[in-house]
Amino acid sequence: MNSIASPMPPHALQRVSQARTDYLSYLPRNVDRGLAPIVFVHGYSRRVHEQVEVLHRLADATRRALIAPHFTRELHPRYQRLGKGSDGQRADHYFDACLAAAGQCLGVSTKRVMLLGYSGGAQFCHRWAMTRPERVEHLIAVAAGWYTFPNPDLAFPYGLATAGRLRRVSLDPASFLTVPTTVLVGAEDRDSVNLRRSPRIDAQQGDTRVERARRWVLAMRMAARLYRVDANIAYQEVPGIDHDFDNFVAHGHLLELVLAAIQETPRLQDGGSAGVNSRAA
Amino acid sequence: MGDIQSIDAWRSRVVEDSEKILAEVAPPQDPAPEARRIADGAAVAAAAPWAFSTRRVDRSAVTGLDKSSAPRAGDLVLARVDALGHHANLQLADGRRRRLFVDDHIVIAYGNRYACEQFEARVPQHLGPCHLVAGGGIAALALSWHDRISRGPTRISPLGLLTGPAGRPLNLGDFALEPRGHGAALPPVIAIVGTAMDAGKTQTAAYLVRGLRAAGYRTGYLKITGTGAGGDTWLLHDAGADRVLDFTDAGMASTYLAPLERIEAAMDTLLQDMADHGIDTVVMEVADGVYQRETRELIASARFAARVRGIVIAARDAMGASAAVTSLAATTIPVLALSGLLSASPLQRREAQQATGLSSANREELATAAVAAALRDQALAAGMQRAVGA
Repeated sequence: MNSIASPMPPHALQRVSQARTDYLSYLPRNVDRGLAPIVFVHGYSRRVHEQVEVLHRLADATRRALIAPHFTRELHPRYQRLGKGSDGQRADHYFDACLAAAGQCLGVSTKRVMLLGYSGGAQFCHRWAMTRPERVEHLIAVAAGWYTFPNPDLAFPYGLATAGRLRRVSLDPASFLTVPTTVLVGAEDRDSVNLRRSPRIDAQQGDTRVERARRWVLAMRMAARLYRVDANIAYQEVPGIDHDFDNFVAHGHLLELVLAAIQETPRLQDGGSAGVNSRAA
Repeated sequence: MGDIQSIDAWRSRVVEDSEKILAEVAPPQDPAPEARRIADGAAVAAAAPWAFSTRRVDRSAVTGLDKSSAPRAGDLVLARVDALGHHANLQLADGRRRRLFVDDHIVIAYGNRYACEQFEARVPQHLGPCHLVAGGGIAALALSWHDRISRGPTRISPLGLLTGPAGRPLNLGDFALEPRGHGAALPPVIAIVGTAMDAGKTQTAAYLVRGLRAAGYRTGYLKITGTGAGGDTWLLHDAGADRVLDFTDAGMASTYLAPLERIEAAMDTLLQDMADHGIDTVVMEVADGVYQRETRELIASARFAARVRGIVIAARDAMGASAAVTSLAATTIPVLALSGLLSASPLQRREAQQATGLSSANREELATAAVAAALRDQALAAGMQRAVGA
């Protein structure tokens, strides 16, 4: 755990800012290019630089590259819901382009990723994982504001009915339910500052991030039973922590929790593949 | 940050406490209670409309519903219509297009679908909600679809797999034509191969069948690959084919993702059936374009080369025809002519002839005894040469 406290060598951080791709990347000195990179998605306040300066220690500790696409306020006002940006490009397509460009630049494969999202970024990450489950080695969603529930009767982004919402995309619960997932939320994250509130969301999901995380984890586990796959979703409600990222890092041991989740991924995956229902010939 | 041991212990405590909290939260409502409410699945299935894809099934064999097994391609499923999308009608076994309504119960079959102009869809590993991906009655999970399909796929909820006397799920394969031993000699086969879906393959086949019949041949039509739907086979009935079969008669809901050996075996079973019914020429349509996986593998197979005497390419335009000829270069089967949508345009026909050296025939020409018989003779003569050359 010593390496998790190391300061960031300034030369290793890159910012690539172009019309179609805008991201930060960090390559640890001892990077293992065979490992899936950690891909971090920032929250609605878009503090990507400050957060990457903290999170680079995860990259050092796991020998993985770190990529953090930047969704600017001007271009991507609704990225959390995979919405279209002001240039007409959908957030998930922009994200794909960032991953492809960063992967090429760093010389790492982004075919599979360790996906880490904070707040609005956790919203984005779990929805992206639902559309591309085969690419996610582990989804770590921290303090998401609200969730897409595994309910095919509700229109996206409340549920999985994508017709007219996500063009030409169909969400397969049996696939995304097996993605190893860790949900983290501060037990005191009950303030509604920057939390999307509406009668519909409150009724479906609850009125705090804590309540919403609990209900989503339960809904995912129930759906896994319905689809007869093993639920692969861990829940960690961290005492004494509110919605402040720096506080979560300093007093909620966020990095250690995420590191442990990343390191436990292979075990989770083994559990996931064994549970798929099959019929004797 | 503290040392590892204390953080690990703290983390274990967090995980443990979090699970305790979850255990006390009221669970969300069970999303699919209806399947459990249906007590007599066989009775509900008997009253439901049965799709074209299930037309060979003996309905009296149904004993109940299996609500827990993972479906396989060809399994029969009782499903409820949840929301109408692209397919608002269901082709029934008798050919009627039945209008669908939300909450209808229907009997269809699971199958994979590959259709560039419509859906890419796969049989899911579960009985959860999925889609009606073909009007002939195919259940699968739609993964992608053509931009033109603005409403997306029709959504359905499977209520259970139909089971047979042993309580096991019934599969279309249980009702397939039996493979026969060597009976009558197999008739010569002319294959219709295309550049893509909707290149005019079925029209080409229909008019060629008319021409061959006009020339006095007992002509059969066989669609060897594709997705179970009635449109093509009914067109060929209307065109006067003496016998019409497709892969569903060999027990397959569709051929996408089916192993080559299975498709080859179906081809032989169906051709033998044609021979046993006195058919002396078979027009065999291969679905989709030559780049499609099963089409490509089938055309390249030795069994296909042994059965097929000649190929007619259906293409939308000259460049497509040229690419198809190039990609067929490895096969020993002669390309007899070009047809399809391009044959409606004199300029495209001219371009195609210049590019490939092959002549083309439009629908009216194919339907004449002279052109059809000449194509057949050309195929048989080339077959003789191939045999002598070998």
